[in-house]
Amino acid sequence: MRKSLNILLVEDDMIEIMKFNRTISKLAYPHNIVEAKNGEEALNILYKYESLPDLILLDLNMPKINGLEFLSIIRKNIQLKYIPTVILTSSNDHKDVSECHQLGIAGYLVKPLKFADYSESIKTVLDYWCFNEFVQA
Amino acid sequence: MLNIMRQKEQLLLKLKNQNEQLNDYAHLVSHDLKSSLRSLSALLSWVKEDCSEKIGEESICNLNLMEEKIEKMDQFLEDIINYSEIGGTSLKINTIDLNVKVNKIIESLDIPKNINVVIKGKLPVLKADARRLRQVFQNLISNAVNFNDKEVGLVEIGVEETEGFYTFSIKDFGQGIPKEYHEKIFNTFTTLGYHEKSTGMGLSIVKRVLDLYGGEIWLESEVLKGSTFYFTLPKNKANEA
Repeated sequence: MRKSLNILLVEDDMIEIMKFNRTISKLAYPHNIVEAKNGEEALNILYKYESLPDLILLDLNMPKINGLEFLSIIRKNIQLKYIPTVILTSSNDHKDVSECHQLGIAGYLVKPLKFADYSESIKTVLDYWCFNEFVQA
Repeated sequence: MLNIMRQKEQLLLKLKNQNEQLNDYAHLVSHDLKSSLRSLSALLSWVKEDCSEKIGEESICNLNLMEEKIEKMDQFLEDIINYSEIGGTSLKINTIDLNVKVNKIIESLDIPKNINVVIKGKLPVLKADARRLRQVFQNLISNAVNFNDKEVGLVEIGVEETEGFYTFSIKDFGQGIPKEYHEKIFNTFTTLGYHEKSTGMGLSIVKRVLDLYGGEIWLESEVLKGSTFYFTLPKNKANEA
């Protein structure tokens, strides 16, 4: 059964957020988006969140607590560690890719240059997670 | 005497550090610029989408040109990142069946239908860093494809084995390269402008990888008839599989 997702988008760049929202707004299925501007803000949201998000979309390069730091913190947290996290970054740096996979991720998307390609890949990821069962309800 | 040796060592160390810093810097800057380009590209496509009726054909044309420039700049940054990464991390040792690897590379390149890329004979299995080796073949093959100016193009990949090393060849039947450019083309940012997407980084990446392995590269070429790029990879106990 397809369901709408609760998504936590962790991204510091305004235009990246616009890109994401524009993509979402054109989808046939509504999703619920919560935005955080860096790892610190995202952690604060998660710690006080009553219901946890189904999916985290995570940028790597951010101020304060960056993506990798954020990822290693939630992977150690007993309540947060099952939340599937998809990396959304412009870096295909080999070191980043392998560190993320070691910490445990549900996907690693390198943002394509063109918006149409970006939209398509976001849509595909969300379409996949729509049909998944999650640990937390 | 000892003193001079020590000075030399210190100088080398200093140079090495500075080189690494430069590489890191190029890497960092390129990544940041790539992010900004993504933003620009998105904003541009929205203007096109939202205002195409209002701004008229000529402006749409200009926006398309902007888009092309952005694409080229993105490729350029990608090349700089690739170039600066070579030598930065230690080489991995993968066992590579070049017959499989080179076919995969050919498939991954967007080769026009009128150009045929063939492997002549059997390529060796050797041990090298798979990503680095891919850069060598990928850049040389895509150059060969881009050089093509005939209606039906052909690119031949071959190898000769001698006691000390393998000599690979990538032969095209394209427009050829005048003698005066044979050395120059290996310099960073040199492009002969045969292809609009060319950044002038491809061959310098190839050369830099081959330098790491103690390989050499040279070419034979005749204008209008085509070029053959040769490169060697030394055989040693480490890369004989």
